[in-house]
Amino acid sequence: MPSRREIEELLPAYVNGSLTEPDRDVVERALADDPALQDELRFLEMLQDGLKARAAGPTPGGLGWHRLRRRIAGTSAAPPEGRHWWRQAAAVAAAVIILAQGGLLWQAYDEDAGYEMLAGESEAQLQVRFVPDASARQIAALLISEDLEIVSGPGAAGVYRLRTATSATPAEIDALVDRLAEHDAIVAFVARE
Amino acid sequence: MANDAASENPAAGLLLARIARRDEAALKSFYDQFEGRVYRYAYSRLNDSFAAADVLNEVMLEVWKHAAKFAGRSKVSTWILGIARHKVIDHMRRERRHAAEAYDFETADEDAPAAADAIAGLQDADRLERCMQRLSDAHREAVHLAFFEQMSYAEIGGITGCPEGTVKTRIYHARQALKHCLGRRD
Repeated sequence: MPSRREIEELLPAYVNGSLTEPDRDVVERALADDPALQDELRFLEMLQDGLKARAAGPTPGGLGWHRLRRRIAGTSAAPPEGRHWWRQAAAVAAAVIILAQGGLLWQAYDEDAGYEMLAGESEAQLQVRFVPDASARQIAALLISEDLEIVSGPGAAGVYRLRTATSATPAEIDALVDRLAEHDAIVAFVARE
Repeated sequence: MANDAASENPAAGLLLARIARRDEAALKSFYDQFEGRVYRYAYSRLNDSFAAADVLNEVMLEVWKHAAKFAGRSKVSTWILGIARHKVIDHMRRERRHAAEAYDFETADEDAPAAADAIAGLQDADRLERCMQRLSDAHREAVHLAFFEQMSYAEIGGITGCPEGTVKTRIYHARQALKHCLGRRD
């Protein structure tokens, strides 16, 4: 007969369904007349539920795929990777937050007024206005996943002018516009310069 | 998860064979199938969404480059989480991350309350999170693989490079520490 400790060590595998049939029988016999062991079982079942719920948050999803795709396509010469990537993310997020705190972001704008064209910034390739409820984190993640940099903005209508971190063909810019437009929870407006 | 792992290999293995022939559509299917598991494994260890996304990117790039190395001796999920493990370790080394104050497992073993007393603490997601973060990285990893991935001790041992007995002991000690943390009245 296995010791109490041995039975307890089998319980997690009993809970996650990976125990072999003979070991299952051993555990079930021990559980039958041991209320304390039944409490252990209940604790582990609830722990498993809690850990699954804990991990139920969002994943990179499509943003992660686009980032990967760019890397495997080799179109981006030096994508920000590794330890520098989150710092860039933090920097972009911080910039957006600072702009927001300065009252520059999400200024009241007239939907019909269009957007302000800024002179002398020929590097910008895109114009984007973000959804007012989009968080700095969402915006930062999107810009980073697409290797985009803010050239200027927000303009009077809340428009940012962006460029790709690496060179892109007109067709790639068009594809980028289409991808950004798909993120309608973050991007309210996007167009080529 | 272990429950659907029996049907995992044929489809995922075929995808890997196609990926080895540079089939990007196959990589997309593979990414869709495993992205969540790789990301959540990395997040469970790094507790940082940006770092976990980096690891996911690195792992999938590794799959793209080295899909042909998958020999079918293990489950695809075991193989890919093994790659993820190495990438997490690389990340920790680069960032020179040190373990936060971890549990004294001997004390936790002795003082662990009865399971019934710790169950109430499980209702509080924030408390569970705090308690998980107090586990050592190795214990948190074992708990994640056992309860989230629903892997067997042998599979966990395959990923972590530990004997099954060590895995069992880690999960036992982690459980006692969690009970101790969750059952504490503060």
